[in-house]
Amino acid sequence: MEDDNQWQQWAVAAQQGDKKAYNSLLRDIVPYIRAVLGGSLANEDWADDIVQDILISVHKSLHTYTESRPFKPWLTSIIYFRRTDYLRKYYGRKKLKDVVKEDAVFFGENVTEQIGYSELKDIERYLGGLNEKHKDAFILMKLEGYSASEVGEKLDMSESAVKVSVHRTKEMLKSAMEEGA
Amino acid sequence: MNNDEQNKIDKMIDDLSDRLEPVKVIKPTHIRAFVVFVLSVVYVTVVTNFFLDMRFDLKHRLQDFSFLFEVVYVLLICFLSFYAAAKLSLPDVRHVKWYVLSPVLMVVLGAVLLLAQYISHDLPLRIDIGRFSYHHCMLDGVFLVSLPVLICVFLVRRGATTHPYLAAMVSSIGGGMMGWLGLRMGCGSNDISHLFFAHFLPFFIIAFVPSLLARKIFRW
Repeated sequence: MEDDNQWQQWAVAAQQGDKKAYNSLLRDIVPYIRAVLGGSLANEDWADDIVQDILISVHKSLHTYTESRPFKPWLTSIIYFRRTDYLRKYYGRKKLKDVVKEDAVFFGENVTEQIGYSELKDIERYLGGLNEKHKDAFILMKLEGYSASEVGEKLDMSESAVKVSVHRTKEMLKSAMEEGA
Repeated sequence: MNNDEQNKIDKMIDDLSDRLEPVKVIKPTHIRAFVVFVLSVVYVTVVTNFFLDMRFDLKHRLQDFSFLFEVVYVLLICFLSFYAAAKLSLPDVRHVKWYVLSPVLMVVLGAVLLLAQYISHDLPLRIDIGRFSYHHCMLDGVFLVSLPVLICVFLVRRGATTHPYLAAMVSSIGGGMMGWLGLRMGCGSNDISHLFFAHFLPFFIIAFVPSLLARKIFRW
């Protein structure tokens, strides 16, 4: 209950632009978020990603909190929503990968084929030479299927910066591959 | 949790705090629902009056208790739907099922009452989809339904819903019933098959498009 009152005060102050109160609020809710998530995930490593998603969601939806309502149920709803969202995306991608693995033609052409394999190695080598942000943006958007806005949120870049970065990486990758051919 | 991850989270918290601007707290639910309701009623009235023409016997029908009851009943469904949509736009909405169930049950009850009324009058249940009036009402309905649904979608998007499908469903019911009301004011037919196939079904199908795209439309 004490937590809730304190968080309520910080949230209201944050709505008025108090950065210090907001910082305290976000730092204070992280252990609570972890506690709510704890035990409900098959892989503990996912918790870090979900915590980040939740912090961004709290930031985006701060205007929907009103002083007259307790803070914890508001936060808990966001936690459950983002956890479900994360798991849906995760298992969605996993399903896609399973299908690809089962696809004999795709497997033959892209995985066991020597040419495809060496291309894959070239791509890996080339990506290794990029700076972390460009590399992460490319991998998240082109290999893992995140949208530009989601990548932007994860890497703290604007949506257009992500698109530009990924486009450049793709173009450079293309010309590097053509040169190598 | 390793140190790297903790550092990432710490950095993110610092970034979010730095980026913080004062926010305008969302208006109370009843006010937002009322604004959407009034805008929708004004839109439907204007479109019916100036673009589609009011039904020729409207004055006479407005003195009929059952017609007046229907109008008030449909307006109530619309308001309840918009209220539910406004509630669902908040992450921590409680008693969700009651907010959603009330307009849904009222629609079902209304449909049953309408059907009972026709059965009791022993009216024929004709189905004649090819008639011009059907297409005419369907097109009119597209106009009447689209804006109320869009306004309601906008209302939900202003918040941060954790129930995108339910929010889309109540938005659709609100918009769909506004379309029904507009067509009842504009179309002179009282034929049950016409009411069902030309006034009810197409708009609900159109209005339910947001439900299919709920996760995309209400992503935040």
